[in-house]
Amino acid sequence: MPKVKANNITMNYDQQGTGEPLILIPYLSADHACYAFQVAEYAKHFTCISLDLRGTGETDKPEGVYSTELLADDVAAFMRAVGIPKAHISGLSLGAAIGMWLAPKYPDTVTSLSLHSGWPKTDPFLRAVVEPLQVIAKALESVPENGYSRTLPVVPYA
Amino acid sequence: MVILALFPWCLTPELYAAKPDYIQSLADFVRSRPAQSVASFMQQSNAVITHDAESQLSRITAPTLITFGRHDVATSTRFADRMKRRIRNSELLIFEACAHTPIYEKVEEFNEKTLEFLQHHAAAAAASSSGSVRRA
Repeated sequence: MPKVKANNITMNYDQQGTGEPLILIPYLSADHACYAFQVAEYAKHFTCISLDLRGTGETDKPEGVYSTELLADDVAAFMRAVGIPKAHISGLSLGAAIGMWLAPKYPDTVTSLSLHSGWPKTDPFLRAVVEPLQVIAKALESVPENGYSRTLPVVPYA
Repeated sequence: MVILALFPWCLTPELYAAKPDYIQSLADFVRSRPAQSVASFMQQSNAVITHDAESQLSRITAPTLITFGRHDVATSTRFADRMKRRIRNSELLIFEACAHTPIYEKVEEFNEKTLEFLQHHAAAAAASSSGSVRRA
């Protein structure tokens, strides 16, 4: 799997197909393979580039605060690093949230934008969906004696 | 454990009833991927919780496809009108019989309809580049 240095991290990605570039941004916790069912079709028409976001898959996982704007900066830097000046951008859920920052902040890099199951601003209900997952994750982290550790897979799916 | 807590947000009750083996295969697929550490999950999920691109929507100029699953609860169609209205060059598509992840719930329909949008704007992009066909 190719890797490239962008925005001070090493990013992992997968490329399949031919045609205009189409960048697929994963959802929370997922790596590039989450769009396997789409790439199977999309790659017949587009060069599909699916990447691992900061903190997932084989991309670096630096400490610090992550935001959807920072993750969009990563994608823009990734495009510059691999030499893609402009691409179709597609993302689901967290991937869509990132696209909402990428398109306005780097308008010249976006041919089209696909926002699937996205949201403009987290509201109390969405917060109530995500926070219990954090409680579970933290609970797992706090019981290393039972065989759990900081590296325990949480593989959520949002 | 977390995966079991999350799947019901992503898939409809009807899919659970109709295709239990498929749901199991999705769970197996997700488990087969590189594990995310708890620390990274906290960082990423905090990015979800603090997400606020409200002020950015009206600045989006690219042709935009907005889709939702009709039965999504987490990111329901409550966001659809706002996004459609503020993103000037946008179209809205609702996948019936889907929750949060039409990419897995209605693979064929999702691929077909989203490809239609992508190809339309690929052709438009090529046509607008000084009349010559452009291939990246």
